[in-house]
Amino acid sequence: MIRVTDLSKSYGDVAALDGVSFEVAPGEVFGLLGANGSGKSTLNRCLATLIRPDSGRVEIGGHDLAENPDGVRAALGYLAEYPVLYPSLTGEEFLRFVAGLRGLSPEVATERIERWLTLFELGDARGHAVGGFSQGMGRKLALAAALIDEPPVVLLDEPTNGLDPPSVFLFRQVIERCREQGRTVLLSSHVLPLVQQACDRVGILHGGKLVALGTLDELRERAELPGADLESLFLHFSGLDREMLARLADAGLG
Amino acid sequence: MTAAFDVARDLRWRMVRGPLLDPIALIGTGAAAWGAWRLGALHPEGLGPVLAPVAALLALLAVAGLLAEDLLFRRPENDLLRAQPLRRDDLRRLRELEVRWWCGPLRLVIAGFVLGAAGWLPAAATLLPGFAGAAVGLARVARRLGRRAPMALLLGAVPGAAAWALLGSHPWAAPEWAPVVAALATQAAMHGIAAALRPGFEEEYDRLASAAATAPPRRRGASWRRLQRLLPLPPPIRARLLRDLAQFTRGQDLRAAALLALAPLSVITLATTVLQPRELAWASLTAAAMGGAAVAYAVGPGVHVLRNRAMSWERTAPRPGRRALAAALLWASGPALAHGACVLVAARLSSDGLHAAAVPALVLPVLGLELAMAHYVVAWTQSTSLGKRVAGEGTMVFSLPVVALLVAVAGRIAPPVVLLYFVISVPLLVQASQRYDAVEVTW
Repeated sequence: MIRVTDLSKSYGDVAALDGVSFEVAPGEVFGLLGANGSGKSTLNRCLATLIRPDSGRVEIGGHDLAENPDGVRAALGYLAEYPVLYPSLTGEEFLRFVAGLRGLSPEVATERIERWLTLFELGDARGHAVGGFSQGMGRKLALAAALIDEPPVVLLDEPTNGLDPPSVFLFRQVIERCREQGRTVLLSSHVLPLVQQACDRVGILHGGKLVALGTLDELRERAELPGADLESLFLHFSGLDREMLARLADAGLG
Repeated sequence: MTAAFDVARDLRWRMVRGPLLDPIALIGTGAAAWGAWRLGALHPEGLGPVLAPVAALLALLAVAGLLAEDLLFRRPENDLLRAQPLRRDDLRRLRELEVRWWCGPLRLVIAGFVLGAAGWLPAAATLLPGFAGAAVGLARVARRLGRRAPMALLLGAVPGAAAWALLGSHPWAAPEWAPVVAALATQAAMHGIAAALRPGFEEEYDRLASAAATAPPRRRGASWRRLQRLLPLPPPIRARLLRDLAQFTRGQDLRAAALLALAPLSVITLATTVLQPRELAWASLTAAAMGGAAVAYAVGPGVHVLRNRAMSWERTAPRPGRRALAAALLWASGPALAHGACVLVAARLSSDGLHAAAVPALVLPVLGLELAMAHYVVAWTQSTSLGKRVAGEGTMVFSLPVVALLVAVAGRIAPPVVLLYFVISVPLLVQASQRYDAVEVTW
């Protein structure tokens, strides 16, 4: 599970995260929404132990992030928004590298690599340098790397960027299997239909604060917008609906 | 020349000048030229002085040809350059110019070699710039044939010719003017090759470059899987070592490759000077320290930054600091021990094997010094790392000689004391490990 309590992180005078609290249970897929600069990636990086929060508490897979970061690392798989891959390694070599980092034996690594390369139709590209991969191929490879040791907690930051529709469909099925296996998934995305379809609950970040949290029905009820889709709810809770209308009016398009 | 050519040339020069004018690269070039001069001067008799400029120029041509082929047909930025309003021959001129820039250090090295073997006039003749046009022409032929064999053959033949010229016994003594005539004749031949292969270049280049752009990428072998079975190490350490090996062998760290190639030059004085018995130990330690510095720099900051491009993968795996440090130290110890062995072999052979009996006593001081220097640079680099760069490399450049001197003195006085360095430096290791764990990864 993921438990975040009163988490804050600033870059100089800018508060990237300001007292964020939420929980994600095992077997739950939690969607994190937010405009650019709302703090989603900072939150993901804090949870992934890549940057240190200024204050607050994080517990992942039963491990406290401040006291046992190695326990947290062992429990989570992380796909960054812009996953950096070594361009000179081949797809297979990169997966073997990550499998090795995660402590998998060569035999288990081989079996998992076969599975993921086949699933994502990367089998033909296994022997080719990652530097020549398309954006979608690179994203699929990074996703496979994040899931290669079947971690109980998965953080996915914009996982479907650059993926074609069949791959997005595959990705949704992978998320569904994660839910069935009782794994905890935190999914950050700008693709609202994907979040609406894949997630049990949603959190909306705006200006570093978690301004809304709940199931779709709970959010509709709170916003008093029965039947509203996730886009309307997102704009409503982040206050962007009024701001967007004002900007359109300023541009003479209102 | 067009305005677009001037813009492209200025842009390429800005990219090339960084690595070419890098202080370490300049020092390395100077060291290599000095080493080549000493090498060339080993046996300057018989046919050697005549063949030395020929062999050196052919080696330059082969390297330049491989480089030209890479620049013209393999670089991703060709897609950008080919789509610009350059005149038809501008791209060829641009790449020819680049071949000349990149080969500048090598030209100095071969000139040093020819200076040692044949004198200053043939050396000056080797510096004439005719090779670049011939290299571009050879690149075209190689691409037309679909293989780089002609240049690889040329490159392979050169060491043999040089060895025969320098080390063989040649009863015929060439007249004094022969070396300079040989150098000029080779230059003229290269001009001839360039002139013969230039007509029709532009028309054919479009076709060849298009074929190169659409060719399927080269499949790489399963060496990773084999090495996984061969290296008896824990998976997290082994994975990092194999990553480093793959990156190094695929040319991702050219500065390290150049430094490692230069490191053996440090034994030239040791191997070629007649030493008194009491001089052997210091001469060996000096050679170890000089080459050890090149090795230490090759396994330090550059490779650390290269690894950290994809640092998030390592940081989200358990115990990142300790394991990254352990793997980096293991990676560094390979070339350090190899160079140490090279020094010991040179000490064994020096003065016609006169001091062979004294060499076993040098094993601990020499290998200890080599390992300590590599160890210090790796630990220092990681302890001052900001992730994508290393802070204050200047401090390390000044502190490394101090460490080397202290360890060398300890090794000279009482060899086992060298091991004390590895105890004293434990706090630096702890700091390096903690730094790696704490640095904020925002990319």
